[in-house]
Amino acid sequence: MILKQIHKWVSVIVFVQLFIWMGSGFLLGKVDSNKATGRDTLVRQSPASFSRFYANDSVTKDALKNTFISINALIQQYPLITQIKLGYLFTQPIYKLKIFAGQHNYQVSDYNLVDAITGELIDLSSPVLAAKHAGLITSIAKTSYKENRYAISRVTLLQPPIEDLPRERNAVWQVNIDDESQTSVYIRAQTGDVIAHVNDETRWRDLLLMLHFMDYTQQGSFNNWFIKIFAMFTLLLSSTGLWWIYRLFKDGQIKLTWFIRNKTVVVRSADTSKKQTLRASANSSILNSLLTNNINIQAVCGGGGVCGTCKFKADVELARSAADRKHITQTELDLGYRLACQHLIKEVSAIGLDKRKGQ
Amino acid sequence: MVAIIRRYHRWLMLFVGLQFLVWSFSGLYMVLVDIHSIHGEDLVNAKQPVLAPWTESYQNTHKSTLQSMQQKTRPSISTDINDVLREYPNASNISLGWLGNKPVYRLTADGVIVIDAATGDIINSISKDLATTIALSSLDESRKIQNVELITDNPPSEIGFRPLPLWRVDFVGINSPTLYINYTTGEIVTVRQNTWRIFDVLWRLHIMDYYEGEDINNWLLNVFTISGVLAALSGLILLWFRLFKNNPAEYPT
Repeated sequence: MILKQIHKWVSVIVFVQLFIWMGSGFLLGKVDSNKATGRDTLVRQSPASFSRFYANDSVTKDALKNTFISINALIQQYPLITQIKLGYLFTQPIYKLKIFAGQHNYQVSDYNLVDAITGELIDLSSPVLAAKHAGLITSIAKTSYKENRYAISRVTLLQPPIEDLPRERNAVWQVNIDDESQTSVYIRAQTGDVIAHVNDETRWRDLLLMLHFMDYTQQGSFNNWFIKIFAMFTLLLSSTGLWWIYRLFKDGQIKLTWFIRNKTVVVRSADTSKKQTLRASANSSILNSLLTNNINIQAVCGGGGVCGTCKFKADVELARSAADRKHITQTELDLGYRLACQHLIKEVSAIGLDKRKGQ
Repeated sequence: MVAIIRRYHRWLMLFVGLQFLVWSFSGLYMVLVDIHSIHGEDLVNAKQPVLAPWTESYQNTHKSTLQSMQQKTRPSISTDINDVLREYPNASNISLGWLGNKPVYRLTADGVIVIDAATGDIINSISKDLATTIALSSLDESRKIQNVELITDNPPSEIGFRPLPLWRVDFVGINSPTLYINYTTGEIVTVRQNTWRIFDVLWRLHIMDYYEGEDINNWLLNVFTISGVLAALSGLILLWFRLFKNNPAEYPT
C-alpha cells in the first residue's frame, strides 16, 4: 500500500514536467534539423593554400626568402603557445596561436591571432576594432552566408552568457542578418572563426531542449540539479507504477485472454431490495461489471483498491487481497465482504450489496 | 467515470509502462553522469605542453609561468614553416603541434603529410610504439595498456564513419578506456570508455531507435509518446479525483 501512496504523491510533484518532457520530446522530432543547425545558410570556405606566396617563384626559392614570420620568432614572442596554425582571416594570412583550449570549442579557450607577414597582433576582442580590422567581422559573416541579398542590421560584441549560445564561454561577435528567419552569425572573437548561424528554427529547438533538459537557468547543460531530482522522482513513479501492474497480474485482476467468456451472476441490492441477474465477461472485475450494467455501487477511486468504498458480500469464501485486508474489518471479512474492484466475475455466483452510505 | 479512466490508465500503461521505466532510467543516467566525463574530458589531458624548448636563462626570467609546466627538455624546432611551404607550396591546413613528445607539422597536400619539426623528416605512418607513446602521454594518470591494435577494416560501431586505418589502444581499468589514434597524423580521433558506451546504449533505448541511434522522429517513438501523453493524462484525472473528490457521500455513481 505504501507504494500506491508513493505513486500518488510523486505524481503530484512530477506531472507537469512529465507532460513537458513528452511534449518537447515529440516536438524536437519535428524540428527541421538542417535549418536548426544553420546548415542551409552556412557556407564553410575550403581552406586555401599559400601557393601565391611560394609557387613558381624560383628567385625566392634560391634566396630562401621567408614570407612568413618564422616559428622560432613566434615562440620567442609568445612562449606559452602549444599549437600554431597558419590560415586565413578573410583574405589575410594569419597565425592562430593556441595557448589553451578544451575538448569542445565552446569551452573556455585562449588564442592569439598574429599577422603572418608583419607579426602584428590582431585583436578582435575589443568592442571598437582598430581601423584596419573594422570591416573584417562583417566580411567574414557575409562570406559565411550562402546568399548575398540580405543587409546586415547590427554587429555587436557579446560576452558570455550569450542567449543564443547557452554553452559558449568565450566572447563572440554577433552579426544580425536581415533575412526572414532572423539569422545571427556568430564569430568567436579570439579566433575569428564562424561558430554558428542561429535562426528562428534554432531558437525554437533550443527552447525545446531547455524545457526537455529542465535547464531553466540556461547553463546549456542537462547535468543540473533540477533534472537530477525530477529524474529520480520519475523513476520512482514509473517503477511503483510497474509494480502496481505486476500486482494486478499476480492477483488475477488483469487477464489477457483471446476470447470473451460470459457468465451470469445474481445481484441482491439492499437499495432496491430486488434480485437482478447480471451477464458479464468472466474475466472482468466485479466493480466494472456492476458499473457497466448500471447497478448502483460506490467507487470513489474508480477501482484502484485505494478508497475501500466498493464493498460487496460474496456468496463464497474468496481470497483476501492486500486491499481487502486494509479496508475491511476482520469481522466483515469473515462474513464474506470484499472490495468489488479486487475480484472477478468468475469467482462468484451471487453478489450482495448493502445500502449506500448517505442515502 | 473514474472507473473508466482507471481502466484506460491501466491498459495504456500496460502498453507504455515499460517504456516509461526505460525513459526514466535512461534519462536519470544521462543527467546524473556528467557529460564531460562521458566524453572522456577528465581522462584525456587537453593541456598540451608548450612548444618552446626552454633554455635555462629563459626559465629564470619566466619562473612563475613555467612552474606548472613539465620541465623536460624538448627538441628545438629546426625546420621552419617557410621551409615546409617551399617544399609544398600547394599545402593548406598547416599546423605545428605535438605528436607524442615530438613537435610536428601537419599539412594537406595530395593527402595528409606529417613532418618532424626537429629533423625535417617525413613521418609516413604511426608505428605501434609511437601509438603507445601518444596514448600514454595523453592520459592524465599513469595507466596500463592492455592491447594495441591497428584497425584496417570492420570498424567497431562506436567509432562511426571515421576514416580508417586507426590505432585502437585499450587501457586496463574498470572503465575500460579506449583511445583511437589516426594512423597517419597521430591525432587522437576519439575516446570511448564504459560510461560512454552505456550512455550510447541508453540513448538508443531513450529515443527508441535501436539500429541507427539517430532518428528522434521514428514512428515507434511517436506512437509511444502519444500513448504516453494519453496515459499520463488519464493518470492526472485519477490524481485529481484522489486528491479532491475523496468523500464517498458527495460522489455520484
